[in-house]
Amino acid sequence: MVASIIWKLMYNPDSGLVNGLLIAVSLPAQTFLTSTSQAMASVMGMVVWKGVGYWMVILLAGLKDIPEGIQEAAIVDGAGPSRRFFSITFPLLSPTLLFVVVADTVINFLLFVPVYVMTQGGPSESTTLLMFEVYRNAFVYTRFGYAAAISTTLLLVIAVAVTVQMRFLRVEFEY
Amino acid sequence: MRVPAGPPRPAATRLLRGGVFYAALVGIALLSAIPLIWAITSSLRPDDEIFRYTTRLSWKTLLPIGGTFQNFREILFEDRFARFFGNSVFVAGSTILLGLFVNSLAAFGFARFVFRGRSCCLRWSW
Repeated sequence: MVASIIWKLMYNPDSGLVNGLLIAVSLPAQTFLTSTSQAMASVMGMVVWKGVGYWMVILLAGLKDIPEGIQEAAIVDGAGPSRRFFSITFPLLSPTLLFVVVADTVINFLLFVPVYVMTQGGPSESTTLLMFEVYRNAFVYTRFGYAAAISTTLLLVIAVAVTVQMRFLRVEFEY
Repeated sequence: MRVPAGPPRPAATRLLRGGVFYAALVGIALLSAIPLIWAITSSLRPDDEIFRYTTRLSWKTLLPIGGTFQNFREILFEDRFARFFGNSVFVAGSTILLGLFVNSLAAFGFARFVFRGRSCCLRWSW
């Protein structure tokens, strides 16, 4: 919520800080939330920025959880940095990665606040996400059935997406 | 943890590469912090000053030079901030307490009892 407000002000094409920074390094000013071609990318930029802290902490915990002894053993065996990454770090981090992928998928399918605060779905529906459409139909147009139908469909889509992710990304080993 | 030395490089090259690498990291970190710094700075400025340095950047952009505590004075002493703050504290506190109670009961059930339908709620895939 707060992040959306800050970024909306920063994205302002005339007075925003982002354009100020772009001009300072002599890049052309952009239109951001006011153009159909850039609005969605701008919303996504803010969402990614906001998510960094949360997902980073979880991935950091996953990395710290990998016993250093395994890495040291691999070094003794002569494994280089890339071999150590693909044979140790990545597979041992995959449960954490699975959680991050699944949770981030669900959260972003349900994205609503940034759209509501920054763009109201516009310009010309270029940033209308499903949850915003649900809100608008239910509480602006009072078409509750339509809104409920979207919600239910979205629930099914998320269930399918998460199931597929768990099917293909799940690993079963202990160490 | 020490990584075994690869082919030895001249000390100057290594220093330069390390310096460039860390400069890039620090740059990205600062860039990510700008929205936060700018929001804090703006809280220390009168409303008509907030956008004064945003398009023409100056060293004052992220520093509240000639700022004011008026905004904080307002929320702390003049406005209904105390009421809203109380609401937030009440919501946060009771959510934590109720959530801990309900969720630990549920977790205990799943951890200690075997019942039909247990696995479908716990398994990571089906």
